[in-house]
Amino acid sequence: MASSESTTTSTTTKVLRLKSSDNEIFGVEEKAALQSETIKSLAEDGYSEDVIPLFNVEKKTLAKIVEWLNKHASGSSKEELKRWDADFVDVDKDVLYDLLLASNYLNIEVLLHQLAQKVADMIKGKKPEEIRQLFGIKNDFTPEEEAEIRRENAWAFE
Amino acid sequence: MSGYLPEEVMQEILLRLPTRTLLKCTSVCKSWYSLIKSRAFIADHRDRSIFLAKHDPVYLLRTFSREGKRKEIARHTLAFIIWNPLIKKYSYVEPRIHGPTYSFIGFGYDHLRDDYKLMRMANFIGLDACEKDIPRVELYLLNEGSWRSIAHEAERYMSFEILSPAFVNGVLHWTAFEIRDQDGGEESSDTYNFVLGFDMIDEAFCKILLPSSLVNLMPVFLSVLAYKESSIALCQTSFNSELIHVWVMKEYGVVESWIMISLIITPQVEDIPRALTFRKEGLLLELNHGWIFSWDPSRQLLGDLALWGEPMKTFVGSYVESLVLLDRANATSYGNDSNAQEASEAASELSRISQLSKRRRFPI
Repeated sequence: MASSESTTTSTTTKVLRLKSSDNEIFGVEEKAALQSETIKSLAEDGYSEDVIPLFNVEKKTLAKIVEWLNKHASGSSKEELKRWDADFVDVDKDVLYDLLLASNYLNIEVLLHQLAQKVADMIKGKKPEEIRQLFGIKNDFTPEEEAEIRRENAWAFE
Repeated sequence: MSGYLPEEVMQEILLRLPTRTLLKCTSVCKSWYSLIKSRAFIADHRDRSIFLAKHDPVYLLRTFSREGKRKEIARHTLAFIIWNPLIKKYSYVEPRIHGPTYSFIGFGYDHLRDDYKLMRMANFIGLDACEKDIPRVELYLLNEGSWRSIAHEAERYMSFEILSPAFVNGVLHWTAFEIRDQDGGEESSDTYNFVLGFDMIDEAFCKILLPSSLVNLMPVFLSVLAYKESSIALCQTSFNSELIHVWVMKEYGVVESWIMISLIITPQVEDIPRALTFRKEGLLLELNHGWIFSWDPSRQLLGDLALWGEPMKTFVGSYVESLVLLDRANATSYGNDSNAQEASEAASELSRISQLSKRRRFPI
């Protein structure tokens, strides 16, 4: 299945087609797409000639992921990638969480680590109440239990 | 775990936080509390810190009195404290062998069982008795919280309490010696030096032989240090001498590979220089009755760290940020106790040293 673009190069550039949960199809060069371990194993299972369905990723998130995969397969310099990555993860909380979930599902280790670091940096310096709000976590301690935990390491809360 | 993110993703995030923030995070919800205090998380967090430790930072533990006041705490009672200054917790370890003993101790890690072990070899006082008695060897396991006796070959190893061991390749190393009678009879007995190893995984002793020129020296002049990641070095010092010979075992365990790699000329010293730790670019030394210096042999540079500790009571080890002890219910938290000011000062000293090494102002 030689594509029209391949005439300019001596080897065929294979393109994988990824389908989002809301049925949008993205064409991604194989080299870029295989940075995802999940896509890699789906491709090995024989999906490569067909459309690869990614049931857990919506198109708005998949578009961002594809952007990241392409950039990281483009041979950019280390410094440029670093700048680009910093901009890439500089998004609001909800987008960040969608990307985290997607990179976890797609098993893109490098991206997962970048996003986890970004969120870890958001936690630093926040109070426990603010951290709960950040992640939508309900405080399931009784006031006595919480006071006891705070008392034990009071210096860490200063 | 309720919230926007699944537990496996949340764990990836929490692993990237410093210890102090993680202590605060234990109060967020029950699942975070259990996760952060779990042995598996503590081990993953520590391993990540080890992996990321770029500048090979060190901690420095010194003993000093404040404002001329020295507290005589437990001076005659031997006890052990396993201490994690980063989370301000310690665990008190009651010795099982009591009575006046001459003993040497070492602390290390068994990576197979993910456990910290405190090893103690006790001879009953004094040196005469050492020659008659077989030393008792006991091991304290942090996970089990108890001591157990170690059977060993009935050899009479001796070492000095002031020589702290080097923990390399899962083995504790001390300079040790045996007293051997010469052919001439009891009057001409001689010391015979070697490096004594104790493997934290096998829980067994091994002997590493020394270059012949070091075998009969006074053992107190030989200290064993970790060299790079996987070998050992010996620092040979002497009274009122400007020379320190550094012997490196190029290939760990291969006796023929001992070589003297440098001859260090320290400035005028008043006592026996004491090598504290071997660094990539040089040594940390204790000179002139307790002052700590860094020494860079290639640039012939001696750096005064402006730190003093009681002579022979300063120790240096490799430093890594971890939550170890957080899962120990019996560990004592002292961060909120005003009486623990001294301990917290020691902890801030620790962070200062760590910052020094990060800034690379000194070759440490």
